[in-house]
Amino acid sequence: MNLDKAKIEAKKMLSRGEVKYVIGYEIGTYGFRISPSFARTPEEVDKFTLSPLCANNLVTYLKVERSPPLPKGIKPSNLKVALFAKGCDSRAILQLIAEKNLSREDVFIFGVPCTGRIDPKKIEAMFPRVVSKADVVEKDDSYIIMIEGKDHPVPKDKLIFDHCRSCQYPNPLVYDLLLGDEVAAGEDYYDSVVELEKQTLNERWNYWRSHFERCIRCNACRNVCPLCYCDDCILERLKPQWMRRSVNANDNTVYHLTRAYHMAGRCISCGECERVCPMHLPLMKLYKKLEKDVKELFEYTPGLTAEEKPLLTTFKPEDSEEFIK
Amino acid sequence: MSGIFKGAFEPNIIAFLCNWCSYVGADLAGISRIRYPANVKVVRVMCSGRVNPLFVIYALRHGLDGILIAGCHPGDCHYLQGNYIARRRLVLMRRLIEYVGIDPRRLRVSWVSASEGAKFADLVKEMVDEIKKLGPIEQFHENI
Amino acid sequence: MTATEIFTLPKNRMHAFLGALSGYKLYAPVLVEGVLLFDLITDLKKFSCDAALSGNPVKPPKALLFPQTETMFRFNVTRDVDISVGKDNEGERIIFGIHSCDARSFLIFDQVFDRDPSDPYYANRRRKTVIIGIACNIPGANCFCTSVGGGPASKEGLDVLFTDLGDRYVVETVTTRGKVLIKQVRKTNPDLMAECQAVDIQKALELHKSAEEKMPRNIDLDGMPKKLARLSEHQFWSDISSKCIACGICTYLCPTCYCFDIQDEAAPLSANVYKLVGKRVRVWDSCMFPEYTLQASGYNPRPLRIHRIKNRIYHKYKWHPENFKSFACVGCGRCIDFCPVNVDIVEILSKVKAIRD
Repeated sequence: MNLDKAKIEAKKMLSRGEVKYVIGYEIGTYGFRISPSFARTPEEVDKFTLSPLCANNLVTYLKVERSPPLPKGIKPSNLKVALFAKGCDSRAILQLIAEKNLSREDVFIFGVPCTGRIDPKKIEAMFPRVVSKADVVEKDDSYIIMIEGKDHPVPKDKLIFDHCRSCQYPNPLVYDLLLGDEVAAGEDYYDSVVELEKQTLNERWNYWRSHFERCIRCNACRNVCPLCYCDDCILERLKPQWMRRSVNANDNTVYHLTRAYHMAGRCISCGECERVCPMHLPLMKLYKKLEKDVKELFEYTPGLTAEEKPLLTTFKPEDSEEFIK
Repeated sequence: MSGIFKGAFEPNIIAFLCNWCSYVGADLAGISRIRYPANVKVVRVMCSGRVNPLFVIYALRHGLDGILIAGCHPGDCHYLQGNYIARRRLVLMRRLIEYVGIDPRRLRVSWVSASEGAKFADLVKEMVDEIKKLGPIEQFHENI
Repeated sequence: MTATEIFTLPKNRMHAFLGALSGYKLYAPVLVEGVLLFDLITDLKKFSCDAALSGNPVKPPKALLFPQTETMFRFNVTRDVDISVGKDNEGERIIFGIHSCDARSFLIFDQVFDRDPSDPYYANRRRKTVIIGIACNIPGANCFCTSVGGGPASKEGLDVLFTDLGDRYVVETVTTRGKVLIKQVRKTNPDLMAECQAVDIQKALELHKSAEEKMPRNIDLDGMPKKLARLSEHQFWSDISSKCIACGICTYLCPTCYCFDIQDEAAPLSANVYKLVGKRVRVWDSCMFPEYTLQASGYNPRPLRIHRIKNRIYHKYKWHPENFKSFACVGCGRCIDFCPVNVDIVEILSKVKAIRD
């Protein structure tokens, strides 16, 4: 991965005033943390890093860019934003362009071919209470975890996100500058979804209920999602009120079903929602189900081109009528 | 919230009928004096494409036992495409609620034209029978 | 100040100890899907003490005194409106396995909810809760309790303090309530706990001291309120707020955050008759949400994340201490542990300190 190429280009763009800022990753404040990094001057670009720990989907920051409420007298800036995008992130950008929420000219993309990212929950379970800043490099099929001068090799399989294993689009589908060689895609499977589908209705209800009960409605899954960009989110509207503010298993179910449905045909499986959830809700199992159904029923995959019409704005006369009598 | 009259379970079903076809069809059933159960509460919408699929979740959350959505036959929509869009949406919604463990038979979608009064009546009879067997929706039990 | 009584309890008799707490509802941490949460313990056989004391529960124990959703009253609307406040059927309870930082958070809640007039929902539960804490021998990766006036074995807010000595616990009563509780246990199980030997007391004190020294994060907050007052328009606030995604994790998992919203929720009782039944609920709210300060006119005094992050830091480290003489922070580190984008409050405070002005 040629991070230096990106840094040189980023510094050039900033010194020429072509971009408002460059969004990258920097080493976090402790342990295995990575922090999104906003470089507004060429010097700040030196902080950038790229490692298997860099899981954040930076495309989510484009939505706060799109419609900030500005104080009086300040005009919105026309400058571009530059950011790093992995395969899944680039799909989010294409989906945003397809939904007319973003123009291609508004963003400069450093494409990062991705061989999978480390699940922070897994690495923190394996190495608990690490305070000093650690680093990770990838070597063949292992990750070398470097903590306080000692190297710990761990098989990739033990630390990688589950959804990274079945990633079909690890290479950015849109970019201005590609930072490395293209990598092979994973094998597409929906094992965890199929497993749940095999269970009975009651078993599934109990499964989901036991998880939704734990949800604290922090809204992190919604806020971190690059494709949840509505200013007036249906889950917060009071006139009319679609969802009650009470936090209990019933209303949490409504929250997650609503969000899952709104993501049908739009979710690009970056897995951020599951990464950020403090209560360990298995959200990818829910979103992957709709991704599978959309593929099966309508042969549609979101985020592949900028010209594709969004799923629910079109139809085919031969669409499935599987249960309509 | 389901009504319990004289000890037997009477489902509460909400029906979204499109103004140009299915609502007229339901009207025809009435005019033709065809009897069908009174468990269905009708909401007239201009087109089945107007039906926000989240109505289904809202209805289930608030204790309705069944949701019926009826529109024009594909190709005959008064607004040309509304029912095609509705078709895509509702197929996905049904799969989602089934996945989460809600019986998908509580959501029923049908194409009813203006001349199909008898079909509408049969549809309602069938649905009420089915939901009577499923029982009242207790999954979102209200603890008010 | 009551004289403390100190005992030892062998670890393998823990279940017997908990079983002897009859007449109380027991709340302790349980591991659910890899997440440690406080829950009501109904079956001691299924309870694992090791799991319970393996870390700091994710959802803070404020949820036990200040539930995320609390019914204030119910109403019944026909021709008139009938309001009924719930009966007080909250029995005596014990919170077991709480860390010193979280116990101190109750004192901050008291400052806000239990002054005159006091919040009856909170106060009622508070009076009926006995708090048994466990001293931290190994602080978490982001703990900084010592910087905000606490400590890994601080007794503030606790009724009884446990210290883990490996194969046994040192059990120290802190308040009269704690004394009464331990007395009750010793009465029914006289051979369960022995008087603590001086050598064990010494070991416990050494563990407390070493935990303090091992505290991973430290920040000198002396003069912070005044410094913050001078930095209100500084450029650095926009730098640190760029990455915030305005979720609510920091506030919901914070043991001292206490903001709430009130909503009425109702449903028609029957489809045919005009009859509305419902309840008024109090739910947690977060100052990090954009709608928190959104006014009916559409104007929002804190529209941007920079305003809201500033507000949060100022509340915790300037306004609350200026009004109540203690930081509205107990140094548990949850906001740092769980922030999706690594907004680090200790780092922010260090940056504030480092600014030359």
